[in-house]
Amino acid sequence: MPDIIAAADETAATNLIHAAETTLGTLSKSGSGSLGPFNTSWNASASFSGGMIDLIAPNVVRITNGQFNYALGFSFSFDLSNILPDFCLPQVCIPIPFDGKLCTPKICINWPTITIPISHSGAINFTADFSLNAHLSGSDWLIDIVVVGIPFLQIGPAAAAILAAIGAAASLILLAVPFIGPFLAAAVAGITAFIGIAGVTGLLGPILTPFVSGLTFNVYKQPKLFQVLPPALPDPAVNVYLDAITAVVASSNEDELVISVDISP
Amino acid sequence: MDTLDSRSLRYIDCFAQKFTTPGHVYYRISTLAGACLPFGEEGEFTIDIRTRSEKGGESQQHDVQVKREGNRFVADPPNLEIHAGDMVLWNTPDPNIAGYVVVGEGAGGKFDSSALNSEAVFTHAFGSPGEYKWVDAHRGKISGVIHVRSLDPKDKEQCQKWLATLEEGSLIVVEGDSVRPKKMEILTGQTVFWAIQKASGISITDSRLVTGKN
Repeated sequence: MPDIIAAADETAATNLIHAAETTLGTLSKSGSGSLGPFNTSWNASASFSGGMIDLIAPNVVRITNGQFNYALGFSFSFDLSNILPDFCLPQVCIPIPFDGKLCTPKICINWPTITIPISHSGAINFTADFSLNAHLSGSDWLIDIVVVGIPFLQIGPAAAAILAAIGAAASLILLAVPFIGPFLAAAVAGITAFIGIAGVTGLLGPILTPFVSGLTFNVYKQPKLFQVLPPALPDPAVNVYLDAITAVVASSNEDELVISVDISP
Repeated sequence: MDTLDSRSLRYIDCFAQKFTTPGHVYYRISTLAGACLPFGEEGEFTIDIRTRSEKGGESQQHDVQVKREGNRFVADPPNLEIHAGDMVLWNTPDPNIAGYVVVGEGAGGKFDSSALNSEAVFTHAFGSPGEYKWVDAHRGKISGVIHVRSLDPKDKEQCQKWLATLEEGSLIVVEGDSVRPKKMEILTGQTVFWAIQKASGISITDSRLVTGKN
């Protein structure tokens, strides 16, 4: 029989998880990957918020409709000659006052390589099962919930939004490219088609998945040495040792997160 | 917006000079910074101007391509034989050449693409829409405005029209302090010719490149 038993219902557990999400703060990563045919280096940050807790005995804490907030930055360079046709200004001849006429040579336009920087932020709702893990870390007892498996992230909408952002950024940059004139719309379409949704998804998956793979929230932290205050003076405070902590999901009238503690003086 | 400056020629620019005095002309091609250096043996190209023998024969245009070999600009062909009254036009096909000037002297005096004299022509193909106020960066007495319009890139009919207009050049004549016309409107990709009928040492320069003249 444990010396102390504490229980939290799903509402209280939800509050615990929300506090844990806040404590976890913003996570950051950077790396490099492929955006369709292009290589790009990226940086990304992510945080978690919201979600409802569903406690499922004996050991599952399910977060439903949690929000995975991310911000992503990357850039890639694109050689416009990949999508624009070879284009030459024709020879132009004009009569001039002190000569019969003067003709310019045909001038072939050099399409430049442009660099398109992208920053995009968004949120993806997710539902994931977590298991309870009570363990001693140094002089502290911790109760973590650890994600089980790799939660599925619906990144299709995010990929579409990023592809649209690439198109918008490309439009602005291409406006400044000399002689692009009537090729502008086709160039933007060409760039987005060149990358495609699959290209963005291929970049996004390996960036976002590591944020949720192995995701751990700490919902309880207590020093092993615990001071118990008396209800009234003159009794002194006494120190007790938390010898063991277990956490389970128990199902009785309602599902509860139950923490059991064994203590010794 | 692109850069309009006769003092630093790029692949979308041309410089032409009429040679009327028979004799020998030598010139060099350099960056603007090297334009004032004295002539040496290296990097000099020649034009032999012969008296036009055929009575009433029409003047001709001779084109010279400017290329880069290592750190040097070279003219192709390096030596020209022309007749008095002919025009020589310089242009580079290399878009990576950031800017060059053509400076020469000999029969008939000096000529300089960075300081245009009588019977010179500077051409520029405008690649980006916008309003371009141009001035003479050397003396500042002449100026003009070119409004460059772009077409609706989604309209295929306009695209066909645009391609047709690219063959049509526009002419500005500079004679002393007079500029005709002072204002003009063109489409992106079109070429403007500045014919310097009578002037000494002027430039055609985007006013934004000249401190205090924009």
